[in-house]
Amino acid sequence: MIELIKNPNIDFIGKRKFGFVFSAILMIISLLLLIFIGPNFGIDFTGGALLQIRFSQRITTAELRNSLAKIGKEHAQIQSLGAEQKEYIVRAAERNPVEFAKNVKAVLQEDYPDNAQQVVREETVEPKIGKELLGKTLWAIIIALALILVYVSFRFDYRFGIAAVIALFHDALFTIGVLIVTQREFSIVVVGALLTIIGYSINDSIVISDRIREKFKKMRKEPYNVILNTGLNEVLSRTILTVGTTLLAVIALLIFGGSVIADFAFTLLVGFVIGTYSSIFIVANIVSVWEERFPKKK
Amino acid sequence: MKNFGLRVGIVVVTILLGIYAIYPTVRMYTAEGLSKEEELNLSKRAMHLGLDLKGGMHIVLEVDTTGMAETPQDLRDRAYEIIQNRIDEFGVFEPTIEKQSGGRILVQLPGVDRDRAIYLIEKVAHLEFKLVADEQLATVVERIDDYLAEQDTMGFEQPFSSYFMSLQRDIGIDVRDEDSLRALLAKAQEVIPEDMHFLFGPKEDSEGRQVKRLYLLKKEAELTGEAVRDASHEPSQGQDLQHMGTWQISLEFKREAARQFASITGKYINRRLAIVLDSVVQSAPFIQERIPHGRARITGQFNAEKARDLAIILRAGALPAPLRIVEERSVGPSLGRDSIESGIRAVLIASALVIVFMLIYYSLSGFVADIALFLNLFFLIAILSAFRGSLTMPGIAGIALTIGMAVDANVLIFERIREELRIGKTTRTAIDQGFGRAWITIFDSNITTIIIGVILFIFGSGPIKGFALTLTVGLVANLFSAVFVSKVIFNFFTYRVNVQKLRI
Repeated sequence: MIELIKNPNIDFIGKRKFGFVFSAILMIISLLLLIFIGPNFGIDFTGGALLQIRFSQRITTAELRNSLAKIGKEHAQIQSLGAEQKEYIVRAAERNPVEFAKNVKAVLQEDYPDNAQQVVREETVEPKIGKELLGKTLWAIIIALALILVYVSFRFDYRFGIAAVIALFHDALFTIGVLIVTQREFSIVVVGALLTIIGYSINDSIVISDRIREKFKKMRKEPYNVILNTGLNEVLSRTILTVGTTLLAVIALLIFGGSVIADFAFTLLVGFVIGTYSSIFIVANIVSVWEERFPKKK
Repeated sequence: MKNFGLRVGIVVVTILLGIYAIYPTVRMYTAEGLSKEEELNLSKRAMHLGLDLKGGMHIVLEVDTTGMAETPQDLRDRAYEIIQNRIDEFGVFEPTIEKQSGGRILVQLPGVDRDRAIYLIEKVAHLEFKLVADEQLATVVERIDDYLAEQDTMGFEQPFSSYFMSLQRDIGIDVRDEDSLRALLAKAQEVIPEDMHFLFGPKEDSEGRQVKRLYLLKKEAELTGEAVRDASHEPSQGQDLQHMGTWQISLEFKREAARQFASITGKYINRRLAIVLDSVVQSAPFIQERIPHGRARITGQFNAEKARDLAIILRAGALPAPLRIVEERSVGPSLGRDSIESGIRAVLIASALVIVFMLIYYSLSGFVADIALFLNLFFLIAILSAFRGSLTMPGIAGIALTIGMAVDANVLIFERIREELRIGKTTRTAIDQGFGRAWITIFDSNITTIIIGVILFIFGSGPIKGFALTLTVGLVANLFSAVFVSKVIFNFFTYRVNVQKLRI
């Protein structure tokens, strides 16, 4: 029998200060990033156009930028895909995205008539559609969080519900912070990833809460914090194993999944790691502080 | 051990149902040389590939209601009919055309040439036959020149006609001057007779320059596109050099319209009748004689493809209002193929990693988990096939993620069993209690993720929906394969084969 950790007995609750301080620092940094820099919203939300173009011969970013400058669009983002310098994504927030896409295609044809071009992906989103999408997305997140809060409160103690939802905010905020630092595009797909992270993180929190609930029944006499600690330790190897297999899958996606879902996989990777951390270090710790300040009547 | 036989029965029946559901999908994507009919049949019962994998276009159009009396809904409904007709005639395999709120129409077309499809959908195709006011042309141009010269302090004598060049018997203008000319025409609006207006022809080449013709037409149309009963495309005939090798569209009028056309052509012999499509004068031939049989043709610089598409559009009728593309997501077939390749590779690698890991960590029990994992994927595809779901690239990501999360249930169970064994329970009891205790946790945790999946499916747009679908279906299948099926397998070995020592 292979065991990851033999009879773990780590005093998570005793070291909760470290967890809180660490998380507080992460949260403050992420919040500052969110306020002062803000996410790099993709065209899904701002409105705009994206063209993924394959050339038959090599072409440089500078050459592309020169062509774009001719139509007054030198501000467009140009992203090179692969090492061959033959495939690019051109992206810009635009009021009239259809026009932009048309002009970009025309100017490239004109400038490089001998370098055959194929537009393999073309997306245009009008700003008002972007706004609608943003509204819808916010609703989706709010409803998801509300339902989870209801479900967890119903199945467990409401304290666990609230602690779990706090942990979710923690995970989402941190992941957004990382996205801002790495300047990844904040697209609708990334929002999907964030919601998945929420689902995954709540999953972890539930497994732990479940075990703690069970321990409460068995160890009535023991102090609150000892029970919490026992629960955490007992599921520790499971938590690490599960996040391990999930991360194997996510890393496979990130490396082999191709350009279309790279951002998605990256977001999941960050979120799953922080989600696992928060379900161990945040949820039970919040409940333990809560119990110390406002003990439950027995 | 209760109901072992029943449980084995359920597993076997479910697997058989799965095979039945999955068969069309497997056959459709692996068999070579299927007939069209067979393929159509299979596709009704198979999992579909999303536009991002197959290549195709997804556009949302919005009717432009400026200056329209009707409500956006009415306009949308009429535009919807027309678009449906056009696409039917164009012949696209499994198109999706949907009305949406806010005067919008969603069109999804798999595997089409994007530019052509857009032309086909967006073209308003407002066809009109208008008389050319050749007799009045000289006077009207003169009046405009005088009027503008008066207004203009710069002192040009002929601010309008100085742009003109001669193009056979028409006025030609350089396309670079088009905007200035349009501005001048707008300025001189009040001296142009009320029943006439100027319209341009299409772009053409003349001695190395890009030019357009300018026509003065009667405003009122003699006939419109509604008169058209049928339209077809054919190679241009006659000696006309300008149209050598091009195609033309031949129109056939409805009975009543044919009579009108005959009387118009009889009345205006030797005058010109312009054929105007969306405010562009396609051609303006002379009426040589009365045309009794109700036929006309549109000539121009059309190639076979363009002529065919235009014929389709004219047959289907004009859109009631212009449409604007408010959202588009189109993927070329080559990117789609790349996505499938990389997606499948990612899923295979993820599976291999997880399978090997479970084998190493849990040995023979890990093998049971691997069987459950395989069944999980099997049921996922079977359910998608049965409900004719679509597999998209984010959907493949959802599958990869399902693989990672699917073994969570088995990990939970196995860790529980290990705990029970550690405190000295027998193998059979440890298995029963391990499954029993882990079940609640697995249920709780899957339910919350399923809640998220359902919300993503309802609120999410295209790409997210695909992901939510596979993730949710995958997790539902997970409850069955990882818990129910693997317990049957464990029970089989401990009770029937009488394995005493569990390798876990």
